[in-house]
Amino acid sequence: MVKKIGSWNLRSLLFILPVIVVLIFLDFYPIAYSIYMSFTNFGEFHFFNYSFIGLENYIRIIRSGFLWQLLWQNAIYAFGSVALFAPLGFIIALVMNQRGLRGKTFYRTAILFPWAYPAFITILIWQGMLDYRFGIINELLEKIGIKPIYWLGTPGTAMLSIILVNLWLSFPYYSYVFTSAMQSIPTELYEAAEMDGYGPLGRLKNIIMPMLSRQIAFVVIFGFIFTWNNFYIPFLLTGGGPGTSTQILITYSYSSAFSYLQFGIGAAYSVISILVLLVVVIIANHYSKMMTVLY
Amino acid sequence: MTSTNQPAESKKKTSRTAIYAVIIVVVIIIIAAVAISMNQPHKTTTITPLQSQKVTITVWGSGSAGGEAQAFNESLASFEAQYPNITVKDSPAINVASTTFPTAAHAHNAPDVYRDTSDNGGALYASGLLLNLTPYLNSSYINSFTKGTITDWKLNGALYGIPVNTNGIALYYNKALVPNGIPPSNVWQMIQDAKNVTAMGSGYYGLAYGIGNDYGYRFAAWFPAFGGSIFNSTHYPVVNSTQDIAAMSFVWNWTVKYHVDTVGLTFADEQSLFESGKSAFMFDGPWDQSTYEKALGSNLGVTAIPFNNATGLWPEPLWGSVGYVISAPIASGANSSQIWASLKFVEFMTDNNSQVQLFKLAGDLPSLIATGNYIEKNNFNDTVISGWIAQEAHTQLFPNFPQMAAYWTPFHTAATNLEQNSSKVTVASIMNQMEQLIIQTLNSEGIPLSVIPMSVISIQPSDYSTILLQISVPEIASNTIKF
Amino acid sequence: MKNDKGKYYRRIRMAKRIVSHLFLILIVIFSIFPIYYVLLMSLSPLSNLSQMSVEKLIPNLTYLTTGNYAAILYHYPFLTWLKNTLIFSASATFFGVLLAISSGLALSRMNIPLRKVILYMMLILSLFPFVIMVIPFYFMFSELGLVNSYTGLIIAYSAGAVIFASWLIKNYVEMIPKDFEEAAQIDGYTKTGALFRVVLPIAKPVVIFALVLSFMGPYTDYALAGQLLTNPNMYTMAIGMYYVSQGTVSMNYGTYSAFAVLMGIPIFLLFFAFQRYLVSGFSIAMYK
Repeated sequence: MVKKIGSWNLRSLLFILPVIVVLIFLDFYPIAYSIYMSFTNFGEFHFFNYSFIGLENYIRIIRSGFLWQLLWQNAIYAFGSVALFAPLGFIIALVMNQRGLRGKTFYRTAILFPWAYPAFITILIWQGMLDYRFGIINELLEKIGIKPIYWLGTPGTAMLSIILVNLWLSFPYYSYVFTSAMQSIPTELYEAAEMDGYGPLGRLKNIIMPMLSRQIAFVVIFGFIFTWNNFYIPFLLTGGGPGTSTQILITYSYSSAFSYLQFGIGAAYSVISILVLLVVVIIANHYSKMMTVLY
Repeated sequence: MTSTNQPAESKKKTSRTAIYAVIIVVVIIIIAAVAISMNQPHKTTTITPLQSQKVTITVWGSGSAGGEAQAFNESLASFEAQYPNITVKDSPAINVASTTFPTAAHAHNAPDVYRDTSDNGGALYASGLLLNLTPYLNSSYINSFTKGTITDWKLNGALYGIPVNTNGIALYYNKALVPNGIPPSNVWQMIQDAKNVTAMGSGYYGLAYGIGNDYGYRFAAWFPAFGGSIFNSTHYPVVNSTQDIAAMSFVWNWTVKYHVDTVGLTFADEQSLFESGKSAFMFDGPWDQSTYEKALGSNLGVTAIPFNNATGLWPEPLWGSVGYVISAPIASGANSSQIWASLKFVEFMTDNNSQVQLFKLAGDLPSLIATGNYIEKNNFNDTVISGWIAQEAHTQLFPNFPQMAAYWTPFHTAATNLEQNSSKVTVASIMNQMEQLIIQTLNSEGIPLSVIPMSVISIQPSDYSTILLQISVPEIASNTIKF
Repeated sequence: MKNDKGKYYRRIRMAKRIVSHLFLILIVIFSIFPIYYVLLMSLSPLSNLSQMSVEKLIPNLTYLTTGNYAAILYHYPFLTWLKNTLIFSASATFFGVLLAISSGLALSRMNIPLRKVILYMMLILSLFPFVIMVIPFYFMFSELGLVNSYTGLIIAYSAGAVIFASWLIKNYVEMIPKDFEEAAQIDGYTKTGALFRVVLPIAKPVVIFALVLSFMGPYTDYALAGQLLTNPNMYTMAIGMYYVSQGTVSMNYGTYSAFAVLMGIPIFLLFFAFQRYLVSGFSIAMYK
């Protein structure tokens, strides 16, 4: 690349000015504000006359005993979701990427629905479908001789329902991502592998996986990050229930702020959620070097 | 394309850059946080002198589409006709208990008038967001409301809103499924009736009530039936008391001893069973009455939840109300004319005419004594209405102190636990768990485990109280607000 | 002998095909079923979910009704909501992607100071959940007088679009060999001219992809619109949907489903129309 002199640099900044402005005003400012709020007693009893109280909110949260439960549930939610939708997306992509398979367009269009439909609508639809006594899922299960499952009513199945609904919402996106990743591998490589006598598994192991390893890592880790803070599924599907068994940090933060009007504590929960994620990203990057996808 | 075998040095550089980026983000955030904390928004509300000029007030009030919204719009139209100088801007999609209100209030952007439930209103008042209406209202006006409903809008002696209705649950019953169409007179009778219905076939549960899906709103009726309560007089949770344990054992026995109820019912399931005649009873409020009328027609009856013949006490459901509150000037930026207009508006929307309309269009029970008398006099006296009136005599106040917020989720957790692990837990251990969870929640949310003294609740910033003094004296005189 | 082996391979291939199709059909059923279900609900006279049964999954023409649709279209200002939604979505898409084109091209091709830092920040900041941003957003917008205004929400939505659209465009453009611009520069274009006249047309798939995604954001948003809009004349479809289907206490599923269909179909058609670009736009979008 031809190195340019200083004036070019300044002029190029003009091009990315919108990004910088947005980062400052719509990201830094709200984030800074939330962090600041987490160090104050802003809440029901100090709504206008709140003051700086240092780490008190954080200490309260750590002492309360809910934090470990929330971290655990959040981890199950995020890991469980990624562990299902990433492989499923990958398998669908592999199957659809077979040469000469008929009806690719049909399949590709049909799986667009979950992605192209507003999620907050479909989550509520799922809620109705998963109803214990009258939900269509249990009625279908009954028809094939399976006892109805109390989907949203017990802690274990409620978490499972959340993960399954997340799978439904996310798998099309990941199928598309992996499909296009596979299409970016030059066809000559496949042909060469076929000439060398590799079967489909051999091609997967010797071409696709090595070629895409870093991309897969990137997609999986960002899938995890996105899911970790994905508020809508637990909030709308189970409302964090039964009890608090499907609350994640970010839904709990919301309920602290709006059910209990404790905005400072709510902000502290979301800051904790972000800190955990930052640690995850740094560790993941250390091992997978997924950030190198950026250059 | 990125090569898979990058030199090790470049990788090191990569993660170093990542660390730098994180450090820069953190530094900028800290600088911004400091800058924000040093530059606290400080707005003083300016007082414009009251004139007979036009006033505009914003109202978040009509709530969801339906009968209540229709009644609201009708009353609003007659209000605007009577006060041509007051313009009302309403936002219909903002329902009660909206999260928008506190955020808007913090930005001094709250509506002048807000329609909310008494318990939510209590939390908002405790935050200093609502106007204390006591200085503006004389006692004869306050006494024109039923004692229960108006008390529900008082916190630490201050009146923070005016109720427009009163509601809560009672017992719906299916006349075809009780002997001679007469509702049970005590709980023993209720269980006997339920047993008969349960015996009618599989899938029949005479007293279908899904405890595991309740957040304790409907259950709360049973605490007083055994002499218990959720909080004691100092607002400390007491669900682990013998009385409350007895209440929980009684309800749990519907499933495990009398077999008139089952586990795993959702609220929608209860409704379906009741509507399809597979359950004789339903604990629910007037808001679902039209649904049941559609399904059961003239077989639908309403009565007070029956008397507990074992203790000689009545079950007392939580009855709250929806009402109108006026935002404190610090929350809404209202000037004195807007406060005056808001008072006029609230007075109008809760008056006898409006409440009669609300009753006719939405079936809301009134908060005014006069409207109650009107309804009793004017042949509305069918069994359904008399059932609601009968229940109104046996209700407990909806707690509006801040600790109440910590009751719902712990109740739900404990009740779910009881339903799912009934072989492993006892009712006493469940109630102990519930109490511990309430205490844990209160601690974790920083809410004191005792009555919150006046000095903590609604500390009013100095400029705010001066505004109140300035408007209350000259205006009431000049405008002759009469209530 | 050779023939046998050929047959054997053909059979294997045949079996593979059948298994593939079976698998894909299962996936398709999984994907379409909830949408089919909501469509059926919207056309049925049922008021609550519990009245739905397996038998009713096969539509019966005598029993279908369009009453739920009529209620939404005639009893509520649906067209106002639609108009507002389109204003927000279209403007945010336009401004967001326009600005993102310049930023995306610059980030991929120009020698920008602190480029890596900016890229990292764009990534790290995307970790922050939107819910916690809403409150500070509201305070800032309220100070600036942007609450309850078209401008305010359009700015917020455009801002959201700028970040991820720049990101997509930057990644895509980096895949395009530099030969094109270099050739164009030899032909007398300036470097910037070459970027916009030569590189941008090649990046058309990703631009369309970014347009579709940017449109979807404001179209489906409830959290921000619910917070910033209190003027009924400015309600979007998402708020209208909440208003129409939320009863005082329980939800009216029939109306809800009809609204869900009315609201979801246009977005689906949009995705369908640009499906080609979803594959090629992605194709490299996330990676190099």
